[in-house]
Amino acid sequence: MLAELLSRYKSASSLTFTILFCLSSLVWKSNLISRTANSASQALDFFSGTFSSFGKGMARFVDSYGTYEAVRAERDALRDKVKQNLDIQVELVRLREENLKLRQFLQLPPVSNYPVLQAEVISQDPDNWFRTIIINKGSADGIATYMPVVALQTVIIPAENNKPAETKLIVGIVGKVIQVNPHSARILPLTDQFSRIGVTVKKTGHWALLNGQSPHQDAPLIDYLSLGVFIATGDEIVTSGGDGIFPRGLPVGSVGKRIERLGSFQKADIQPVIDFKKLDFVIVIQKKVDTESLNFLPLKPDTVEEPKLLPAPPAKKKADDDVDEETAPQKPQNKPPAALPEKPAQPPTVPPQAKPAAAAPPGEEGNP
Amino acid sequence: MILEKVVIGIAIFVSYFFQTSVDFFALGSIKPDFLLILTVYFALYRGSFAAVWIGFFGGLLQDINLGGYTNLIKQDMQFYIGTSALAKTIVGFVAGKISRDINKEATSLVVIVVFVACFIKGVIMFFTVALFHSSAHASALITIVLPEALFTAILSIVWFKLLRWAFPTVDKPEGQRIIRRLG
Repeated sequence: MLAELLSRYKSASSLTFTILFCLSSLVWKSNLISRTANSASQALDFFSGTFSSFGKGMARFVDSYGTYEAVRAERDALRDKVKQNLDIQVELVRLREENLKLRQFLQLPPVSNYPVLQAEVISQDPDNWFRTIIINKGSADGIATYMPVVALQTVIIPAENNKPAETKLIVGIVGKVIQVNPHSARILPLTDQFSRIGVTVKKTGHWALLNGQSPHQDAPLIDYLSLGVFIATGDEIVTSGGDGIFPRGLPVGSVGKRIERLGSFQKADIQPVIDFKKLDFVIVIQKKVDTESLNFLPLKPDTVEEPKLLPAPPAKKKADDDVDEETAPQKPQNKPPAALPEKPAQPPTVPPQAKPAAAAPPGEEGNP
Repeated sequence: MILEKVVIGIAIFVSYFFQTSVDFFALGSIKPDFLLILTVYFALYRGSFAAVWIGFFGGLLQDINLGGYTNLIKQDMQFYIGTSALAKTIVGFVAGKISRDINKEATSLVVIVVFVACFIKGVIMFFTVALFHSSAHASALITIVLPEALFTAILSIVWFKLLRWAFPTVDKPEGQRIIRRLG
């Protein structure tokens, strides 16, 4: 009977049951059923937490999808930035090396009493016949022709006799300036076949002439060295100062293995102090050539005022007259010798005691 | 038959988890009542009996989630069991009774039914809380009940389609449902 009623009015009976359950729970808030039902909350909390994590993950996924374009734009921007950073890194490496070299220059002891100017090698002559070097400083920076050029290089001395290997800073002659543009200049290195430098053997003090050799030979040749001078491999060669271009005592190189005797003179290969293959910075010594005292030709005869010199002493005048008779026979007798010759004199064939390098005119040396 | 009850139980739990755990559907501080949508859906398509029990169990889950509080005077734990269950049960029963007169294909009508049902549920809960737990301020009807009813009604457009996809034979009599499944 009751089951039939419940089945017939199942909706109403269900409603009645649920309402009674709810009201009883509301009235007796801490009854046994409520406590039992509430104990299930722990299990529900566990599932809620799991579901919440899943939901938050989905929400994050949707959010990230929504910001996909922004992320992509940011990625592109970062990629560009990384590329810029790589470029900066390359530039930094270059600057670091340059900085290291400049620091070495700062430690350079004074090479002479003249002011110096540091310059960077920007090019070397591509022609096989010449070996000139181009630097990035010119007349606008105070560079003039026939200024001597030196360089600073680091040499690693190998370890021997329980002494550790050490790094040594050396200074050596590079060459001289032979052409000047407003913002660049050309250097004739001492290895070039047209180069002539007055040198001296450091241990004996004898003068000689340093000649460059053909382009295929890196070692210059010391010439016009008296046969009575005993030289050996490794002897230091320095500038004599007699050519009027290079200050006295600058290192040039050392005597090599090949020493030849020719007539009353002897020749020898010279190993330069400077490694020209690693040349990237040079120092220009701003020493103006004293053309008057060395009897040099003015560089531009049309623009330079003729020097008014007193008549030379009889002995020197005689020597000058000998030279002039060979090169410029039409020269008037009362003109000073420095202003007259149109063609430079030939390389001297006088003994070393007569300062052969000093007598070599710049026109012969500087214009290969 | 049993499988259908299991699926309905899963739907109750999923709706419960959506409602209690995920803030994805929250609009500010307002969360829709997915369990009420499920209750109204079954009330409209299946009648009062199913809606009463779905509303009851769904509400019971919510009440369990609410937990309880310590009464300082009586020095014991007091629980909120019955608060949501009572409201959803009544709403499910009423919605099931009027389902014959409602065109279930008319979306706007369904939205209105859900809105009214949710509002009634809110009012019942308001009075239940006021009577059995603590004093409730009347402004809660405007700040809580009305926005929740509006949001739930709007969301029911999509949710009804999902439930229609999950329960394709919900509107058929029991015999036809069995035949359709077997076929």
